Formats: sequence, C-alpha cells, structure tokens
Amino acid sequence: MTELVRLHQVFKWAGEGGSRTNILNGIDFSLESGEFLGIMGASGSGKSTLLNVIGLLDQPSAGRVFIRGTDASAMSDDQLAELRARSIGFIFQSFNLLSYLTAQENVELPLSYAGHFDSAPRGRDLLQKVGLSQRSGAYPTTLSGGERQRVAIARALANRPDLILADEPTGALDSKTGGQIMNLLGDLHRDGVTVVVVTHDESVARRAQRILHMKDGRFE
Amino acid sequence: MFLNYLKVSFLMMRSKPVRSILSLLGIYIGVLALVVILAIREGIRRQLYDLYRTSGAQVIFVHPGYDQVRKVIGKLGPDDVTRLKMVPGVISVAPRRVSDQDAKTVAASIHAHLVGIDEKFVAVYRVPIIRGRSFLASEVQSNQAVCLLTGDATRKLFPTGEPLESTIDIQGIPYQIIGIVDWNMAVGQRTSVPEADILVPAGRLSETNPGFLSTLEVLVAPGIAPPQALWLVKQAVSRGDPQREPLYFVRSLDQMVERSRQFSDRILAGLLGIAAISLLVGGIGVANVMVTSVTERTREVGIRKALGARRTDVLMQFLVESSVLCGTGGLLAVLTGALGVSLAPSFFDFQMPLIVPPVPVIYCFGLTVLIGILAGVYPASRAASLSPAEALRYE
Repeated sequence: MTELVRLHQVFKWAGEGGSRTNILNGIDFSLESGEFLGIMGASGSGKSTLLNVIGLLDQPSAGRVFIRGTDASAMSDDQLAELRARSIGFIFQSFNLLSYLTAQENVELPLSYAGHFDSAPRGRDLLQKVGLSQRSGAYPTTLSGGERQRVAIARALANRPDLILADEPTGALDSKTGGQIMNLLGDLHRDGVTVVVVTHDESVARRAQRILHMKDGRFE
Repeated sequence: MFLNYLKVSFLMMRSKPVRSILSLLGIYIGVLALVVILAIREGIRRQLYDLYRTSGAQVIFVHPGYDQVRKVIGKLGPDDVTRLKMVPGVISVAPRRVSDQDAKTVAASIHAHLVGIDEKFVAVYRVPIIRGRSFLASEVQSNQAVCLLTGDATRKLFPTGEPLESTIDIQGIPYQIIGIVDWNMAVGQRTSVPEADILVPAGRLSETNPGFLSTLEVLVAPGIAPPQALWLVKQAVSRGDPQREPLYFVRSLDQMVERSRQFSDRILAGLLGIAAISLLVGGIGVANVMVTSVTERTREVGIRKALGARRTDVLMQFLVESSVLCGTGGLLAVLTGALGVSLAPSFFDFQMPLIVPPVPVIYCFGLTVLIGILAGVYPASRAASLSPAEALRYE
C-alpha cells in the first residue's frame, strides 16, 4: 500500500493571542491508499476540522499536509480545487445537495468542474449504482434522507476519486437507512476506494479497518 | 460550463421570482426609457431627412451677408449668377423670385403670394401635384402665362367650380391654370417659402432691382458630396478671397438637416441622461440583490468549492447571474419598448414617426449586460474569495 495522505505537526487554531483556541493540536497522521479509517470523538474534539484539512477545504495554521507526497501548503487555490475535483469526494451529514438542481444534475456538478462536459451518461450510471436510477429527475426536497445521502455518495464518486471523506454520513438518518449507507461505503472500500468516516457513533466506526479517537484536537 | 452558469442563473431567477422582478425593474424602466427616446430621436431624424430631401439635385441658397468686423454689406448681382453657373456640377442658378400681387376670378379676389419657378422646381422640391401637371420647359423658356395654384388658393379663388384649364387674372393678365399643388408645411420648409398661392414661370416676375439679388438658388448635381458642393459655391461667390467670405451667407438643405438634428439631439441628450441615471440606480439595485444572494448562498459556495470549483468558477457563476438578471430586464424592455412603439400610432395620433433603431438598441442591451457584470463584480469576488470550510460552516 502507498501513502495517500500524511499530516505533519498540523495545528489549527482560532483567534489570536490570549484568546487563541487550538482546534487541532499537533497532529501527526498517515493514511494509506485503500484504507477504511474511522475517526471518532466527541463534539468539539476537532474531528470535522481534521477532515476539512485532509480534504484540502481548510489550511492548517501550522504544519504540513502531504497528498501522495506533495506538499499541499505550496499549492495555489486553483491547484487545490483541481485536486479536490479529481481526487477527493465529500459526503456530508446534511447531504449538502443544491436544492434547485435535480438528483442527476447534483451528481454531474463535480464532473463539470473537472472538465467533463458529456456528464449525463456518467451521472445516470452513478445513480444506478446507488439504486436511484428511477429518481434521477427528482429534486432533493422530494427525496427521503436516505435517498439524498445516496445522491451525495453518487456525487462524491463522480470523478472516480482516490479518497472519500464522510463527515457523520449517517448522522441525519435512522439506524436502518444509516446501515444501508454504511454498506454502500463498505462496497466502495472493497472496490479499492480509500474511505475516511468521521463519526461519534461506535456502530458506524466499527465498519472501519482502523479507528482513531480524537480528544482536544489530538489523537488519544 | 458557460451553459451551466446560464442554466443556474435562470434557475435562481425562477426560484426567487418576486425578488428577481423587483431587482430588474430599475433596469427595465431605464432601458424602456432609452428605447422610447431612441425611437423618438430616430423618428425626428427620419422626419428631418424627409423634410429636407430634394430629388435630382441638391439645393444651396446664397444670400448677401454682413461682415461685422469690416462693417461691409455683401452684394449679389448678375455677375455672381454667371460665376456660379461656371462651377462644375452646378445644374442651374436662379434668383429666387417672389412677389405679392392681386389675383382674381369670377368668384373671388385675393392678394396672392406669387413664386417664380422653373420646370425643375416641382420635381426637385418634391411638391405634391394634386391635379394637373407641372410646367414644361418650353412654357418656362417662353414665359407663357400659365400657373399652378396651391390648394389653399384654389379653395379661396374657386370655392365651387373646377379651376383646371380655367383662367385667373393677375394684374390684368389672364393666366391659364394647368395644375393644383399641395403647398404643405414640409414644402414650405424645403423651399424656404413658407407661404405661396400661385406658382408662375420665373420670367413672368421681373426683378425689382436686378443689380441687387436677395437670394440665389443653386442646384448642384447629386453626385457631388454635399460639403464639396457647399465649398465650391462659397469659393465661387467669394471669388476665392477669404476676406469676401463673410459677405455671403451660403447654406444648403443638408446643413439645415444637420442643424435641426443637432438641436433635437441636444434636447434628447437631457432625457437620455435621466434614463442613464435610472439605469445606474437599477444597476445598484442588482448589485444589492447579488450581495444578498451571495450571503444567502454562502453554504452553496462552500459546497461548490468542495466539489472542485475554482475561484474563477464561482466568480463567473455570480457574474453571469447578475448579467442575466440585468440582461433579462434589458431584453424585456427592448421587446416591450419595440412592441409599444410599433403599436402606439394605432392608439395615439403622433405628428412624427416612431422608429426603433436596431443598432443603438442592441448597444442598449449590451449596456445592460455590462451593467450586470459591473454590478456583480463586488459580490462575485466576495463569493470567490470565501474559504471553502468557512463557507460550509455558514448557517
């Protein structure tokens, strides 16, 4: 296995001087390609911030993030965007679908940012993969929570990313639907995709190969 | 990608219809005002062109002038006529002959305005012939006692009978009436003779003082460029001497068109300014709506950036949205303005035509898109510079 992501002495703080609060406290961490990692921790432990830093959505206040050995802190905004478009897929607790686009249009959105203009066939395939081919024209408000999260998963897979980052993917779902979503993430992992799931639900984390616990911005 | 921006722009307008309509109202009113003002401007231009257009020759009038510096009065005489006739391109030169004389028929008598004309006059000045015909060259050359009556004079002199082929007594001489013409306001403007009752061959009106002519009417071939024709005539009457130039007042109908056009343009420029202010206010309204939209859609910006959108993608998205908002207002204004202008004459009695000029109106539409871009620059760049993580945290 090759190293996909490495964090070296990563700090993230809010505020300055006396009012400074450390959210991430000197994280050293490595993620291998093909892993299924679970990150657990209480609310405010810094797990979502860590996920944002890994996903290049947030810059660390100090320390370095390496993606496939390349220092991401030296990259421009556009390079980071390109990397997010092509290599990283995000799944959020609140789905974060655009309400004025249909399920298929939501799935096709990352394809257009990656420069794929004939995105309709890929969008249809992905919706079929998550079992929603019949709902491709439906708007998010007309979908159930489970269906919305499936659309979000299909969207995350659009550009065949190396890494899927899921932030509390079952947090807004009932346990049965949450189980189905985790089965889907398990299938992706078996297909070779690296998956990182942030959760405070132990039953969700148990699906992962490796579990890291966070407290006060560092691993326990 | 651009189609995606456009699609989202229309989807956003559809999702917030009331806000969109209110925000583009300012632009709509501004552009509508512009379209109507431009239609009036074009109508005036066409009307002026039609008013002063001659047929088969361009007309230049030469009057004696006054040199205010040297305190010298200009003088036009037969030698000026001879000199002008030698200018290349000049078709004819004739003193404008007008005279007030008594004219009577069996039914009535009037003190008539007589105008002496040649056989080309009616055609060149486009004087409408109601009945009968104009003068023949032979009639003019032999100074025959024939005449054309204007409509007004006909009504006064022949309240009941048919004037054609009848005779009219002018200063004791019977003139045969060969035609009736419509001496309307436009003809009065073109010929610089506001009122006329009877037209007679020029030779029938003798000069009161042939040594001092008040107006020379120069007809120049239409092939010569108007400024050149004017220059040639000026050179001829001033004999190429710059000191003599102020002694003559030379003007062409083209100049009169230009002066009238400039006058109407100056008046309309004020109205255009008011419309431009309305557009500016409309643009500020759109900018305000876009700032609100960006704030409301902060989370969406975060989602788009998480999915791989670059700064330019976000920037373009909001710029296209504000342009589409303004452009829609502009397009609706152009369409309804053009429709209104074309339908207006059916409901109101306008004295002039209203014509929507295509090119300036296309520029108007382009201007609204430009206003949209300018109005969107600040909100769009604010959205583009948002940090993805912060934007995603926005509630």
